[in-house]
Amino acid sequence: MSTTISTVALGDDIAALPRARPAPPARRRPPLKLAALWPRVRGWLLAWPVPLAVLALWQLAASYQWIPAQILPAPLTVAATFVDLFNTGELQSNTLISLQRVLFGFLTGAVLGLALGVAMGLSPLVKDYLYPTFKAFAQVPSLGWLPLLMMVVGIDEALKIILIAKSTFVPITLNTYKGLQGVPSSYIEVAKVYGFNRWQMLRRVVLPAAFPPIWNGVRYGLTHSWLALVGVELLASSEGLGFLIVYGRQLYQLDVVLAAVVVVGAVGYALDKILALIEARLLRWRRDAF
Amino acid sequence: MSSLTTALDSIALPLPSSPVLPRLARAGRLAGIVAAGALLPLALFALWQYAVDRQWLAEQILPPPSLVWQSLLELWDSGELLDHLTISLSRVAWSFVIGGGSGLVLGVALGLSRQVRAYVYPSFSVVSQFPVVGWIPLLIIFLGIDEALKIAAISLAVVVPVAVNTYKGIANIPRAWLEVGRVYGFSLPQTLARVVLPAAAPSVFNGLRQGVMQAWLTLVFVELLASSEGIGYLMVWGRQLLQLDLVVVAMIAIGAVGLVLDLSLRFAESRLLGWRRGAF
Repeated sequence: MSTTISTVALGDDIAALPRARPAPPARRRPPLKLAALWPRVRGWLLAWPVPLAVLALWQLAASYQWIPAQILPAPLTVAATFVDLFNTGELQSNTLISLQRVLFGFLTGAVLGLALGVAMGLSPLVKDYLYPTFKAFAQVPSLGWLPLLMMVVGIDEALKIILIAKSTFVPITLNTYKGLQGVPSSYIEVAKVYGFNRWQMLRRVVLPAAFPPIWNGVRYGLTHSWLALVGVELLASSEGLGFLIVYGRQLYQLDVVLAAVVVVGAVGYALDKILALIEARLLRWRRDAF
Repeated sequence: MSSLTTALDSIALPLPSSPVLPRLARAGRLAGIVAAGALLPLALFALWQYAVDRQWLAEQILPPPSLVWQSLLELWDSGELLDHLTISLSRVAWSFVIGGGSGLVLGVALGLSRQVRAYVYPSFSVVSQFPVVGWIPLLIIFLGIDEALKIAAISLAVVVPVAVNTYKGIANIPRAWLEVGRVYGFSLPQTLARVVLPAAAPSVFNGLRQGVMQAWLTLVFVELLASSEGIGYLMVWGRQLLQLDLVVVAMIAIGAVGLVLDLSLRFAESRLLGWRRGAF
């Protein structure tokens, strides 16, 4: 969810006549002024009222006991539990276990997905043989495989890794394949004119052109693997963040559930942000090239 | 194994490539592609049958294909499969209406009004990071494990992709189009109906399709976790009774329904957005 989308201001000036946009002055580096920073600060400030209002409502509901404390613990209780879990190291150890599972599952799924995606994208023969089976395989959502896999591999680590790998594999394969298919044929023709051999063509034309969709697939894959991890840990696990949620619910300690849910969200967000940063770095050349 | 060899034969057949009959040649090529695509599933199928014949795995764990087929027919004939599917689909339908509706409203509000965007978007983008399955234990406590839980969880799964795609669809409308609208002196409703909606429609549809897929995934999960009917429950039940044929039948049904949902939305999209091909 990048916030750098070019937003068109509709609404208030939609009916107004187009305003003459002042031509940007031709200086290299505008001096940093407070006034220039104001829109950003304002945007930052305006982001707060809604969450703060929700928090206030939550606190009110808790202190007036609109809802029993077992069902809705006060925000401060949740914060205290969070600190508690953090100090005992319980939170870190569970997060670490979850992250390990995601890492192994994601790497397995990503390698397989990239391999299959590249094979199908580059060779029509491979595509003809494998694509229909892949499509059928991808139709059943990852968690739908869970009951079957449980019988075959048990409820151990293998189950989690396989499920996470599967949910990573599908989006990466699909996006890699589509990305390679979508390379404009004019690029390839130009490369042919230059007399590129097969390797040069791959390295200098196909891969750079297909990189953004492939990376998109990697990001989807990571998001899906995090989702699958939480799902599988909720259903069958004795450690990890998902288990912490189940455990808190079974003991009716909603503060534990909420703390774990917050960590789940934060880690998912961080993982996606890291990949976005890597993408921005890797694709820096594109800004200059186009 | 016999099915495998027949598939191989059909590939090895010389394809008619007479220049007089290019249509036949094309049909032959198509048949070749279909046969190639069928090869791997048939091989897997043969391996499955072979593994059962050789008793590599206990029959409770790997039921023979014939048993799965038989259970499928039985469940279909007794109407049980349809009952479960109807329940699951009605859950998805309700959630799609509720979640899709609120997602559209939210997305349009985010796209059209700078105020709403400034106040709500940061919170929304943080909340949407949380995987829906993570909300479910929390929802169980608030709502119990009844119908309300399922509808709420699935609706949540629909809201996020619909709202995000609607918002992006509106935000990415080329400025020039809006300016042309202004030159024509369009009023606000006119701008909405004749510029914004048609321009954002593909993205909105994309969001709806993602939403349906998410809804189907969440449905399976929530029915696995807490349910006494529906297609996910059929799987849990089959596993508990050690009747893996039931589990496989349920998986096939889940995959088939997912495919049908996706294809029908795609069909609706191509019908509704068919004018675009002519326009561009």
